[in-house]
Amino acid sequence: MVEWDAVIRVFFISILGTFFAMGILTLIIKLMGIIFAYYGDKNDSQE
Amino acid sequence: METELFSFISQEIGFLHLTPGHVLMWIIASSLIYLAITKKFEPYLLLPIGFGIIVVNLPLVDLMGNDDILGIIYNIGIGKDLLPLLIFMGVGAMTDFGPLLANPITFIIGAAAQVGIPIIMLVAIILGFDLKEAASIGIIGCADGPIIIYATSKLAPNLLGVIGLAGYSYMALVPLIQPPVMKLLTTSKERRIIMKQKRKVSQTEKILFPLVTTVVIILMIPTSAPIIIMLMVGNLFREAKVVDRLHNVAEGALLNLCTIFLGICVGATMDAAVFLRTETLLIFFLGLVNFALCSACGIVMVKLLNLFRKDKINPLIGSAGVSAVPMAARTSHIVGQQEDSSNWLLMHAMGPNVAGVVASSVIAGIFLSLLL
Repeated sequence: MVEWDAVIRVFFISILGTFFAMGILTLIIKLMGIIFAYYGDKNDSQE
Repeated sequence: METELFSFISQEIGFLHLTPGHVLMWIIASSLIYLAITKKFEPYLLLPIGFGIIVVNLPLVDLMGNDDILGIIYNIGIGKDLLPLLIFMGVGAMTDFGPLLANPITFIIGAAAQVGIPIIMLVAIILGFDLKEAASIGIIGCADGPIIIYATSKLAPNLLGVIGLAGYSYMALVPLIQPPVMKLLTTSKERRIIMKQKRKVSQTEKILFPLVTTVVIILMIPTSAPIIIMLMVGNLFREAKVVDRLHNVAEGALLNLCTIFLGICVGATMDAAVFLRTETLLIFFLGLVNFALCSACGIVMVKLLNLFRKDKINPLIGSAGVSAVPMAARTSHIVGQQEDSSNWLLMHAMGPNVAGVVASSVIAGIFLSLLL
């Protein structure tokens, strides 16, 4: 007997959870990129 | 004397215990070895897997018992997850996340390419598999060998051999499976989109990436910790540039050693009695649909993103969101070149390709968290 409640739970949490985690990473890396594009260039020119 | 001789022959000579199932498994194993050697289809895995299948289907030989050589390697290497995790460290040591860092939106494409996994999980449940088995069948779509083995060994160890073989076989067939899906879902105009050159990523960013990702992902999904830790420590060895010996071992000797044992052990789980069942064919069929579906989800996500972007993304790189590094990225590049030979998509496609590695670790972690 399939427990459809559990199946639906796994289905939605796996999709939403993956997008959530990857979305957070996108924002952090984007922010990191912006910071480094600014400060990183300065450091390069100092070198 | 004659009775003893007859008894010896009937009990100890393997030929008399051969079954059609054994012979059929030898044929399957020989086909894998043939494909590995002549067609170069994932030779590093299909060759040891093929050999493992042959030896485990020799009558009167028990190699998988607790005190037998393959049994010992299996129990420690796969039963305790050691081999897939060490291989994942090697994958991290070999992977350049630069293209992903240069274009972070490709994280979302990597996530989208995992959507086929839960969809196929639903289909598998409807076809009669239980939830854990269905989740393992779904994981085939992530196209990441160590993750397929890691998740399946925990969720459905009874299907490990079949799912492992299906995963590695389809990874080898990415250049055949993906192009029809890519052409079906994109127009000629879309395939000709030339993407802007991405910014140069600094070495500091590359060093920070494994540290940040480890912390962020594990804080969100603690069950993915073993996979993420191994992937990212390997990558840190690579990017730190000060531990060449560790980096070389992780991506070289250690990776190769683990691949040998993993391949033989996965092959050795494919005993004729376990493998030759209707559900094996069903799993192979679902795996094929899964690969195509995950590729399609990545492409559709790019098309959705393009609705809101000024700098358009070539939808061909969407299919690279399934891991299969670097085969999927190469396939995107080749299909793009068929449309416009001046269009170099390879480095752009590497972004979603390596994002797929991270995303598949995340979805595997979520499955393990919910199902164990």
